Amino acid sequence: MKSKTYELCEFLTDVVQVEKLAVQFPHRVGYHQSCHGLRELRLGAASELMPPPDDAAVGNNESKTHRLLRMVEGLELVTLERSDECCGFGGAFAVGEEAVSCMMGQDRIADHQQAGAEVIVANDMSCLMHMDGLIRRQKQNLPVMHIAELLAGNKLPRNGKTQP
Amino acid sequence: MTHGVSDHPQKAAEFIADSQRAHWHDGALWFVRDKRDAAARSVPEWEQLRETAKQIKAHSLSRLPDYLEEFERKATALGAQVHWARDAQEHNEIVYGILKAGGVRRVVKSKSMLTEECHLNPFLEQHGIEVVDTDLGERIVQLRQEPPSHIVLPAIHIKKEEVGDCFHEHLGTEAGATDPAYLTEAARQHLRERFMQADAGITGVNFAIAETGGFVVCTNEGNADLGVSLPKLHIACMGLEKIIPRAADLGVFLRLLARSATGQPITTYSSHFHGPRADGALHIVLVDNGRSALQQSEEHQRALSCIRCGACLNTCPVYRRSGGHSYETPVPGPIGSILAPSRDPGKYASLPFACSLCGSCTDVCPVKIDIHHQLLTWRRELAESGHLDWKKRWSMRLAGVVLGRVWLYRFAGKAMRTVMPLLPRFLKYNPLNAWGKQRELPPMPRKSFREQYRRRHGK
Ligand code: SF4
Repeated sequence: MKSKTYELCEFLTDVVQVEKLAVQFPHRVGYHQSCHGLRELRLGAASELMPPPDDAAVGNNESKTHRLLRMVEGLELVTLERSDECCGFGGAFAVGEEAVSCMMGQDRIADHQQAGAEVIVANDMSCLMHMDGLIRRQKQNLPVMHIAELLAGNKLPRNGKTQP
Repeated sequence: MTHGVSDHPQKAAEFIADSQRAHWHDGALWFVRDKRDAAARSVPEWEQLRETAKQIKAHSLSRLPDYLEEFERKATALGAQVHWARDAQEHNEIVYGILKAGGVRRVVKSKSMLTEECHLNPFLEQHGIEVVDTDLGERIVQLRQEPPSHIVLPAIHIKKEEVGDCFHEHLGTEAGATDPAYLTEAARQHLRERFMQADAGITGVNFAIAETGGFVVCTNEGNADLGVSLPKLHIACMGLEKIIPRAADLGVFLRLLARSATGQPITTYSSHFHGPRADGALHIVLVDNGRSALQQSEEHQRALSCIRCGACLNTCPVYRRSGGHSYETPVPGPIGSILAPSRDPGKYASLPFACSLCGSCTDVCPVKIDIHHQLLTWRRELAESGHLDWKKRWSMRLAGVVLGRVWLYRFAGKAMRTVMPLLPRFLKYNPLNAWGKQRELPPMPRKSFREQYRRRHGK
């Protein structure tokens, strides 16, 4: 099953081998690296791992999704203070360890805000559902988008509504 | 030994209630993680070193009895006396026996997680022996009568103002003093006196070498050296898993240990001991206390490779925000959450769940223990052995029923999409809904993915 299943961005970069995208998104984007994409599927190099010596130039945590995002016209990736810290969703953890989970999510959101992101983008819906839940409770203005929405050419969500 | 069941979520929530402090704690440990990253990056062959360390440990564990016996032979030939302790109680009794025979009243002890695990201090104190922890951080928590909150940085949860208050009360420093240099100097003078008065020194062991019968103790303050250089009696307490085959292997671990622990290229003092000093005695106590059971477990044997560097604690987003004491075990954090349930699954059942499974610990670990996968394994084992509370049990059972039946899953989804938007807010956000305490529920889509897909493709 593993050899026949791909994560979306992995499929686009490795199988379809996308080099160009006809997509515009003129916004400052905060990219959240979801842990399971990063440390289980290895879509990018986790910040804990040290690049081999001959790979030092690409060792700056650049993932497959980063590569696709860089093909989007007008898109500016903001620099986070903690490039791949967990958002705290973690399935049952989100309710079993409610206090820690929410503090983790809150800290991630704050990092994207201080970096000047207009939107948080991720490959994993559950991370987004968790952070979006916190953002909406606090009535903050920071939309979230799944990477597929962005790559499909959707616009920045306004007032919590998807803009196709 | 079960006194009360540990409740990590509750303890964590209490720690987080002081949000400023929790953020300060998180920042202090992230700073150490950052230093570790810089130090690791300076070694081009870092990942290769980790792999080598992992293999040496795996090999040592696969032949543990042989290497331990070799170590005993070589250490004895060097003039040390080797003791074997089955559990914490036996360990404490052996140590006390040695001290009693030597007429010892005062002991200085350098950092040793093993003696914490065995609760040696209270045991010796009950028998009228004064024990002074000589690692600065450990001395601070000892004076405050609390356990360490971290295996490398025992007092990381304490602010310098609080250290000032503690020293004012116990060491007579000026009230309100916070200058680290001043406070450290006061501690130094205080400890120096204790070193001079001590009749025996106890140390831990970082690495014991089968081939030579020698062992290595790593400290940053040199307190282990002073503690065994002044008194004539040295007792070294070590867990069985500290053994490595050859002296040549040491280089691998010393390079990894300090960089992973604090971001230093090497610990300030790596002291090698080969037998007793000319006019003294050296006792080595080898402690099992559940380790051979772990060694027999195919799932958890790898946890014994741990070199107690603390990197998995520093990187853990949960540990950083919940504090070491929330784990209520001598070794907290990710690795502690693997070790504790093996000792007492009933008491520590909440720990493997104090984890979002982000996997950062596994990638940071210098000996490549698959920490987060082992925590996942523990969850399954705890469920199978009936150690989960009713909430976890029933929610898992319910999820199993719904996810195991396609029709029920589809029906439940449809029901949610229909009913949820109609419910008034107070019915959705009630005390039973932990999700909704600080978060909104996701807006319900009108159609499921399956329905949309069918419509578009006319199937
Ligand atoms: S499990 Fe690994 S990272 Fe954690 S303390 Fe042990 S050696 Fe260090």
